[in-house]
Amino acid sequence: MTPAQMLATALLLGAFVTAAGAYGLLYCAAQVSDHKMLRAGGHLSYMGLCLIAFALVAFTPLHIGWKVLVAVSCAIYLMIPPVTWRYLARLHREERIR
Amino acid sequence: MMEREQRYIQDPLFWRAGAIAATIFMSMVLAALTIDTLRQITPGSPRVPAYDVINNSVAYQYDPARAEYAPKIGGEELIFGHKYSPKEAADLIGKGKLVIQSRACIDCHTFFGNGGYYAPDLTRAWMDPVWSIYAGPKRADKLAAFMMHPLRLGARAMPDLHIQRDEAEAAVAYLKWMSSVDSNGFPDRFGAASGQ
Amino acid sequence: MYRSQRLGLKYLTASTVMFGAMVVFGVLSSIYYIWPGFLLNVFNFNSAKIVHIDGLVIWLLMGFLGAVYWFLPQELEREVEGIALAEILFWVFCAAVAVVVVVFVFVQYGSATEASMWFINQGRKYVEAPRWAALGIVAVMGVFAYNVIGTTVKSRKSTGILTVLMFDLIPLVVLYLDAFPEIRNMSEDLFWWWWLVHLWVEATWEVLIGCIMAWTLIHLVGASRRVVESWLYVEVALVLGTGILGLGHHYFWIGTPRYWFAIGGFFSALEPLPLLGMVVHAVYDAGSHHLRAANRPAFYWTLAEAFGNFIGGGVWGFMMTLPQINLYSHGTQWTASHGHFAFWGAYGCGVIAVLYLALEKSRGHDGLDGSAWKWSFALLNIGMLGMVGALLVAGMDQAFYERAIGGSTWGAFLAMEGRPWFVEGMWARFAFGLLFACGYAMLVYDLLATRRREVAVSDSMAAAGS
Repeated sequence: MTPAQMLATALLLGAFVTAAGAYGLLYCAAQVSDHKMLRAGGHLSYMGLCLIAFALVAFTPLHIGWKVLVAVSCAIYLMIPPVTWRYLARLHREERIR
Repeated sequence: MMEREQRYIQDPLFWRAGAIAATIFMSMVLAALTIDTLRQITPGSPRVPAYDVINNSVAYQYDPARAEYAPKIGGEELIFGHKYSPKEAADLIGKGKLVIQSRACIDCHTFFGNGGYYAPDLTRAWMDPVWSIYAGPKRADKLAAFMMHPLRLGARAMPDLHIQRDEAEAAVAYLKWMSSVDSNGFPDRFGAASGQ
Repeated sequence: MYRSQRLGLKYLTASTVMFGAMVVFGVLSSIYYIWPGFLLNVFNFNSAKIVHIDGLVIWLLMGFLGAVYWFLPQELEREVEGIALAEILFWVFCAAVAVVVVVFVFVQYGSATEASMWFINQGRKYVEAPRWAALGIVAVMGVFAYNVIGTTVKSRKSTGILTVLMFDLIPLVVLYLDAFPEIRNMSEDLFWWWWLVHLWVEATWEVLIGCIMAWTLIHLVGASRRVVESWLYVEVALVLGTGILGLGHHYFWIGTPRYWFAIGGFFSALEPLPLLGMVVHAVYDAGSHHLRAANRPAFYWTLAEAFGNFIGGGVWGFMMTLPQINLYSHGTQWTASHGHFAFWGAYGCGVIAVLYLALEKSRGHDGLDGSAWKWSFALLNIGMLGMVGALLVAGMDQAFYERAIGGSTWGAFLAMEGRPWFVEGMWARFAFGLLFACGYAMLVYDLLATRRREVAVSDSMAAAGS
């Protein structure tokens, strides 16, 4: 790994989690206010996440195990906001019923 | 998937059980790995040489078989004109650790990259190009002299911590022993830039 | 107000004072980087840094204790068991901290003897305090554990939050025992040291702040207990499920076996997942209350906690955790960038949220707002972001030139000292540190200026009458 590759890979890794966070934030904000810009932002963020994951897999000298981890994480990050949101919504719904 | 999801993921008791199970399982794995790791880092093991390695030459160079930098222990190369028995070496290095702790060296320097980032990493200080121009016995003396009367070489100066001669020798012995530990290639490319 | 809550307020006050000490010594530490020879042989960098990082641990610990002493009697609707002893230990704790700081400042170090370890400086990062003081901390935490567990036993009931807290107290106290030994073998020393540091800040402290935030949400926005407890179980499962073996990301380079690359890297890479869940939870709560709460500063600091934890711990951590990157980022200002951001996001913001909640209730207010808290919020967070950004630039410069190209020799280190981006990074860090310090001053002003409600009401009535 050259020094430049090291920095580029690190920045991509940081961008990867940032994109996941942006997706989570915008997905949830869209659930709250149902604004189509927020929804679009969420979708764009997730697309960005996938692009970054692709770049990490295709263009960085990370070992294969870490590339598999990045790819699988990409799928897991897709599920976390909706699953968590549904869980919280159901918890609150059941609480209101009680 | 939705129904199964509702049955498990949505149930708080699932998560409570999960928290307990995850904690117990991970702790047991950690305990097992700890037992093995402690065995592997006991002085005298392949990864961590015995303390009397200070009687030998210690170098750090690129190992093509491992594709990384690794320590290399060589023939006899004494420090301070003395061949230390295993017990003497252990005592000396024990004292060296006390010197390092009493002066809080780790709050300016790093050891295996851990510590303060104000001063250089000391993992391979023993074979740093600044010192390795000197052969073993002279190198040890130069290092000890520096510790007792630090010279200002860069913008940030090392303070005078009133290190006595016996403490300096112990700390130098510590640095030499520590530089023989296999740290999986950290730091990388050591000395390569200066053509060592 | 229960006696325990009064004790909680004392701890929160002491915590705020220690926060200030941390800030002062932090700004001081940053000066050494930009003013060569500053206070050389008078008060060296390592002495300033020791008070800064130990101040960090103490202000957060005092904040946690204050929060629990504040919430516990309300949780069980009774006075805390052993409160008189806890009150004495509080003053013992404060006195011990004061003595330790005085010794750190005026004595600084001793010779290589056991006496130095017992009375001056143990010289192991974060736990430099001499052994006698470490014994004091064990006593304080032991009494704290007795207060929590004893009160729960006496009341013959428990809650989900309290049960989680009680189980968490055991490793919290036991791990601190690593503050005592002097281990000859540096690999073994660091191995156990990381049990204390990582399993505190990336495991037991996460659970502890989770419990405190659960209580905060109940008292701040009237969150349902069942909801926050359910969420707490999710958090504990994921944080401990990833964090316990995530410890391995500190075992890449200290002489330990190579299997830690795979184990540490893998679990460490999973650590951001629960943090993303916390962001979702924060947005859910913010959305369901339409970004409104009576106590606005506590509300916004709680939100800052969720986001700061994710970005400082998750994003910054993931950037540098994989071994192939960490080989070069390890032990550089990049590490300091992550450390500052993660501690602030995960714990600093949370303790400040509790400060405001306790302030509101103890001064008899019904909600809190104003402009001072907004200034403080902005200055502290912008100051922190600036420091972290500056350290990241300097750290990446260092990883690139000193580690990856220079090979981490002394010569590479000396060359790096003068590199423009490094130097500018150190100046920027200093400048943003001053901004952060202004934010702290604003926080203290706001806490002091928020007067008791009857005083404030009578003041405004008097003003209206004149």
